[in-house]
Amino acid sequence: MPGLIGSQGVRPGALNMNRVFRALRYRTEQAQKVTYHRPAIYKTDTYGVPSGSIGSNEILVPDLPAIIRPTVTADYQQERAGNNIIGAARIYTPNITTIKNYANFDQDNNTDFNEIEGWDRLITNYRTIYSIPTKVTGSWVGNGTGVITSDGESVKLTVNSDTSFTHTGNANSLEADRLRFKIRGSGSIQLNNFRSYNGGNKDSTKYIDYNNDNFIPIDNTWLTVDVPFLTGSLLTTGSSIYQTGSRYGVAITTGSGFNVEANSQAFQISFSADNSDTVELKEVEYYKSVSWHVHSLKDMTDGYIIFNCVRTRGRDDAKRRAYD
Amino acid sequence: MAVDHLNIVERKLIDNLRTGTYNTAAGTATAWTGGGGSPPANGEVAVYGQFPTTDETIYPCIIVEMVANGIEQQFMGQDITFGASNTAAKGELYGVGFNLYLMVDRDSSITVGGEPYKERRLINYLMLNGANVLMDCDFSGTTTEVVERHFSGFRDIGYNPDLETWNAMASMVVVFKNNR
Repeated sequence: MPGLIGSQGVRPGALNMNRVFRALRYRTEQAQKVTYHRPAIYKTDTYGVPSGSIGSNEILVPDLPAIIRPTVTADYQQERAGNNIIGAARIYTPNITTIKNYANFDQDNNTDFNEIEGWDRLITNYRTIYSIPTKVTGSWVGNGTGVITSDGESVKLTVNSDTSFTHTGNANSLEADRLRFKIRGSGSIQLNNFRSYNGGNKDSTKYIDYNNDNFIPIDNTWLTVDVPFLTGSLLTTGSSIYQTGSRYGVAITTGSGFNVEANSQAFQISFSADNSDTVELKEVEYYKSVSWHVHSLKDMTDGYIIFNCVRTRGRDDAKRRAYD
Repeated sequence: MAVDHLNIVERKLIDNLRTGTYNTAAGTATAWTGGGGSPPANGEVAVYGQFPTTDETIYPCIIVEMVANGIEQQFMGQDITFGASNTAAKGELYGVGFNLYLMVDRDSSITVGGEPYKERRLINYLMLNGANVLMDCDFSGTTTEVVERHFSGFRDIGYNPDLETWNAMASMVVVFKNNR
């Protein structure tokens, strides 16, 4: 099949790509788990222009293993005549069968997903800006009398009249544009919303609120939540949480005192639960992302898929800090 | 102080585009507001005075780029008058040309009449209203007397798959009295 093989040279045969991804992820930063993002697709009007009516919802699924091989990660040349491509990368993912075996990509669960196509986005963690400590219980509080413990990796609240679980701590999060955490519950824990407080001293107006469609995380299974940490038009478009292919919409609102460029003061989740239920959090991080857009499919084999991707935007945080 | 007409004209042009205001029979109307948020709020259009750095660009946006300037018409003896009081000065008519680029990406949306305008519909909206704003650019309140303006219309309209943007470009010439 010369068309598929192209100029790949000697083909490596059947590779256990998941093993390759794991090995690279553990030993280097070349492989990481990326967030697959397909923005909502709007129905078109009779003139072929997208309308305000969503045809298929946004797909936002974290934890897709991938190897990122950038050619240019960030090109800072001044734009001239629309020269706006500021990065290019070749991204390797497992084969489509493997991808569809992940619960969130399983078409039996998630009927909107077919395969990774042009203009889909693979969001990578360019740099973690602030990682909220979960290996210790200090600075974590519930609003009841539940007991807080940590196993050295995650922090756990055993609920006793609690409805929120909050970490307080002042830290720079200026460069961050996404917020990610892993949550695991037991019993009837239902995630209602989560918040980040940014701006001067923490008070009740300095929040960005992620009000998700209430859902119960599957017992004793870690669920990754990965949402944008920005303001502006997101207030109308919101975001998503996916669990086994089901989408839970996330409405995003901000308080009057919220400043996305100010330090993070607190992170909080709110939930409903019965006493003695547990909720655990880990890998809570504000990070700076790079959104790679799929421009072409280089190769699709039974072992892996290679996408040629470009990055069409980013931010200059030095200027963001200077102009603030 | 030395005359600084080019900067005055350029900044007034940008200011006008940022207000998105044009004249109507009933007074004025506003097509959009100047943006700068990342991402922009609904109804905001970012206006840049030069091509922004790649990391800074916020869509939808208008990029104003001065591409040429020079003497348009010289008078015998260079004697001119300007202003309401016919102040005497030396000078000539001076022209300055701008290219204006409209750019809209896939995420851009402005609600017009309750409907979200996107992509081609949004660039159409920005082109016509951009032309309206340019025609009614208000250069008052400055020390520069603008005498003419010429707008060449939009061209190069289309989708650029590499940039993932819908684009249009127009040229404009502003002629002012280069009094000195």
